[in-house]
Amino acid sequence: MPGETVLIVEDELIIARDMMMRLKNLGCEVIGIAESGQQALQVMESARPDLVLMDIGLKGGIDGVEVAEEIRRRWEVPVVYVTGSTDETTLMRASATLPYGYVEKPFSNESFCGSVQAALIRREMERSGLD
Amino acid sequence: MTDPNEPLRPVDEQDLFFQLFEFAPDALLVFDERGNVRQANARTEEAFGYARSEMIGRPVETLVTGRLSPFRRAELPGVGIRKDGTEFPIDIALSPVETKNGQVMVAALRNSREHRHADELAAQVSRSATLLKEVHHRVKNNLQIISSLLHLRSLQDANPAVTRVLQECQARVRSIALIHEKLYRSPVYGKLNFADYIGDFVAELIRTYQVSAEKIKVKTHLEPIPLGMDTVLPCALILHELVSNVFLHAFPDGEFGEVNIELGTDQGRFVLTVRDNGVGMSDLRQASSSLGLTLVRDLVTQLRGQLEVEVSGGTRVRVTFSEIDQSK
Repeated sequence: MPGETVLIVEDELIIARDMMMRLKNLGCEVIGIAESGQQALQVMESARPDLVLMDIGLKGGIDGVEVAEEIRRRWEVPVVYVTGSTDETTLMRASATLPYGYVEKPFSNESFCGSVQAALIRREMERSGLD
Repeated sequence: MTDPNEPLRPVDEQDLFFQLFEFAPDALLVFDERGNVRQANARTEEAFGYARSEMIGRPVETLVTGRLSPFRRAELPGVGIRKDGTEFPIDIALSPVETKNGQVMVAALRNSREHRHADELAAQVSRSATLLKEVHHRVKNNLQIISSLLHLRSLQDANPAVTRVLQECQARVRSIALIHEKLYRSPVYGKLNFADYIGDFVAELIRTYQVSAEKIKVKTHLEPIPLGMDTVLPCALILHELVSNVFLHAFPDGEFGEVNIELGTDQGRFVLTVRDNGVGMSDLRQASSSLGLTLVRDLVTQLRGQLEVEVSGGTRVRVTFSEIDQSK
């Protein structure tokens, strides 16, 4: 886990800071906090994190599911949703983007850290398999 | 019962068309080239207030105003005139039909106000669903902000007692969020099955406090009881305090034990019981002044319920309550 890089996409900065502190505690490095979908895609143009934590209801014209789909399609970087949206339609749209996890807000430390660790382990296993 | 091997009987087409005409959801009028009504169905009687015999032979213009001629297929707006002289807007669909006795016109008539009202109602339901989804999402996001503030505050204090208290508060916030989630997903508006909530709540609390299933066995005996928001919120918080207390204090130093959670009815009232075989509240007076038990007492008062605490070979807490009447 130490040294793994994470991009947080979250428009509530208090929640983003909370996530950042939990990630630091896991030994991860947060490469940035994007407050909108557009900002997230801009960061992705120049950086390649190991994991993206994605809120769904975001400021701006595109929501987290659309951003996640774009990230998967263009860069194949794993995404874990961290969201309060639990309606059927959103869940179905989100599942279609093949996420590595889904953390429901408000989250416990166990569910948040557990999902991040599971996603990073899966990514590592997939990478070794490919290599 | 129908024998599946029996050959299909031919459909009596005349009977079939009569039934389709008679029981159509729209008012149907048949009129001839002279504009006289030749036939009407049950829905037309209902919509216009005439007996069928009163309508047959009557000029169609006395029932419906609109451009009904020349004979051609058309859809147009019009006005229906009831027997009592009152008028109502209608959508008219006209279809000319050739019969062996000459051409007739079939007019399907639908009350456009009712039609529009149904459309408006459907749009309103859709708007309400979107609003509810948005509110639900915001409630959960706001609860996350509270939880995050508590977590960030806990990081600034090295005192483990303070950290623990702040973690307990975060767990309380999640219990409230779980109620919102269950209410949002409930098939009955504004009500949730408390037994269903308890199952998920216990699983969440076990994860939060990392309770070993080998050391503390959790047994539940729950009757499905639907409760409204005003009742379920205090019940859920009472349950939170009682079960957290068991997980945190009843089995110190990794002792093995058992906790039973029961929900049922007794003489028309609901009964929630949390029983453990742990160390028990060694000093009931001291326990009474703790925040957990103070909250439980306040919440039971809010429920207009009764609280019984028994310390003998463990602790048994029994809460008896009724559904809070939301109209009062």
